[in-house]
Amino acid sequence: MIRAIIIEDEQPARDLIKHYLTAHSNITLLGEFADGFSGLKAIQELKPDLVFLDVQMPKLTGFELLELIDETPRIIFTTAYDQFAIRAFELNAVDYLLKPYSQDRFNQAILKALERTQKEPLSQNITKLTEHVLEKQNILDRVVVKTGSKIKVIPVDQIIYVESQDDYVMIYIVEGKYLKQQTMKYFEQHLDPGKFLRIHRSYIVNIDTIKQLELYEKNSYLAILSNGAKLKVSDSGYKALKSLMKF
Amino acid sequence: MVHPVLQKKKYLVYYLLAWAFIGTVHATVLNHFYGFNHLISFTDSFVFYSLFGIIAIGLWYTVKYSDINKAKITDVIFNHGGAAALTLVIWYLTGSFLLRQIFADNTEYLNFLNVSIPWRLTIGVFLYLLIILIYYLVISYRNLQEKILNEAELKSLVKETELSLLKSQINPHFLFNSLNSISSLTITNPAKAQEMIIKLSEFLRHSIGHKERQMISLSEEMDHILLYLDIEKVRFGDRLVYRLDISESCKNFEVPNMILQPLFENAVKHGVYESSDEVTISFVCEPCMDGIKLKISNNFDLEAAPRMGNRMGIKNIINRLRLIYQREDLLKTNKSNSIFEVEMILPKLT
Repeated sequence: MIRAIIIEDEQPARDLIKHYLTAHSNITLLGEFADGFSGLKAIQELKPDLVFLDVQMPKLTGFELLELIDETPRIIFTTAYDQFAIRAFELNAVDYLLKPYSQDRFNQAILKALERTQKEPLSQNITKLTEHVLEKQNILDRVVVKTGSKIKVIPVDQIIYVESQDDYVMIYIVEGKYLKQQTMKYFEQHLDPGKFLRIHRSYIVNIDTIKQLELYEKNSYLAILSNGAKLKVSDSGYKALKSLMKF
Repeated sequence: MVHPVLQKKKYLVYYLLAWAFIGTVHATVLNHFYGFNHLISFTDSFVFYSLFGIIAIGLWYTVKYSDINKAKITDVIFNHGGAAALTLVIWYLTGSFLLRQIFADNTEYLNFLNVSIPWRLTIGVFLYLLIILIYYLVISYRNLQEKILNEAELKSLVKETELSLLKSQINPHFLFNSLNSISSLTITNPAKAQEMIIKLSEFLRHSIGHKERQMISLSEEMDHILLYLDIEKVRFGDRLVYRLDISESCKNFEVPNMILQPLFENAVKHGVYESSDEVTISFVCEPCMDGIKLKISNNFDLEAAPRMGNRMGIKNIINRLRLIYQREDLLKTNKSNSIFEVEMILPKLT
């Protein structure tokens, strides 16, 4: 028996999936969830085998949700229209349904999702997929992080600075700091270049938070930020800062 | 390019009057300072200036074909030097020949005719310069007019194009999600599915068909918005609540076509899409000094991190308002606590 959940914010869309599922007696529906947060919680607690996941939802999008789970169940995405996502689906051959879809197409997707997981780990595909979608979004407007069991969505303009920590980055905001598995290069490319600057190999800074620059040794500066942090500024970082802030 | 003198009868009259004036001055001088009688003075004047007047009409073509903007300046000077020399020679020889025939037995006048060569040529040079100068002025004036006209045309063309681009496009997300809802309703509630198909069709018909109309009445715009809200309500159910409060006197007021639609779409997108709780969209419209005042507000989930994209929709509307009303101060947005509010004034178009 396959245990499934639906994460989808529109009632009619959920009704349709439920109706299509009546043709599959081998699938039990454990529950339906109307936003990203409750969907995430359900995946962690119920550990379903199969998830019907909408992309655009309140609180967390389908992709943001996937970034936050460790063990990925079999996923069938449902989306209405999202150029980046559709391209990403095609490249990564993950099952997806374009709304509106037929019972036949739905059956195919279920068949595909169930077959695939037996041969190869789907989670790898999912990682590739989310990476691909994230890459395509040029400028980030928010970042999702996880601390223990809590999820935090950080609007990028609240970020003070990002510090590199081996395979992770530490994101500093007023309320604290959050670790996220992501590269510095990724943040360098996807944070608004008019606002964020890599001032050092280890730091990307929100230039609005820079209080002052202090001469540290000859030709070497420290940036003092609104939260009191003092960060080294490299030579090239100083030059870039100078041209961006025009001093 | 049309000849400036021959273009209209009126201009030909002015032209003749100008020559008559120069001729009169000339004749008066001959009569007063040289003591020739009126007949001789006026005949001399008439012969020389009517000749110059005829030749000057032809000079238009030398000006027209040596355009100072296109030809080399040395060529222009060379052309006019040649034309001037030719004009003066023909003018003087013909004029003096005719007068010699007319006054063949008046030796005093014939002597005077011989002596007068230098100053007659001097006058001729100045007349020549004056005439080509006037012709060049006419040409540059005409070019300027044409340019102004072209610019005005271009401006209105650009404005039209911009306006049609700024009008909201059908959001594919909205369309495909609505179709998906219909697909679901055909199974669970066929009557409602039919109702939704009709509403969606009406909505699409308006969005596609009426775009060429610049201004529509507020009640027409509201009909369209009601369709939109009703369709979204099928998708979102209790999550979407709307309240409309439109003063009766506003209903026939002319508003730019599809100016409110993007504001309601924004309210749904940033309120309902991002929140799992109930979102109320309120719309108030009342008359004001300039015209009508409209207020659209929605509550939103404070925990939902703001998404971008909002700015483009609002910016488009501000651009449209600027193009239509030439004013920058008609739209204000205000975000406080968990309420987002857009206040817009639509002035009466005169």
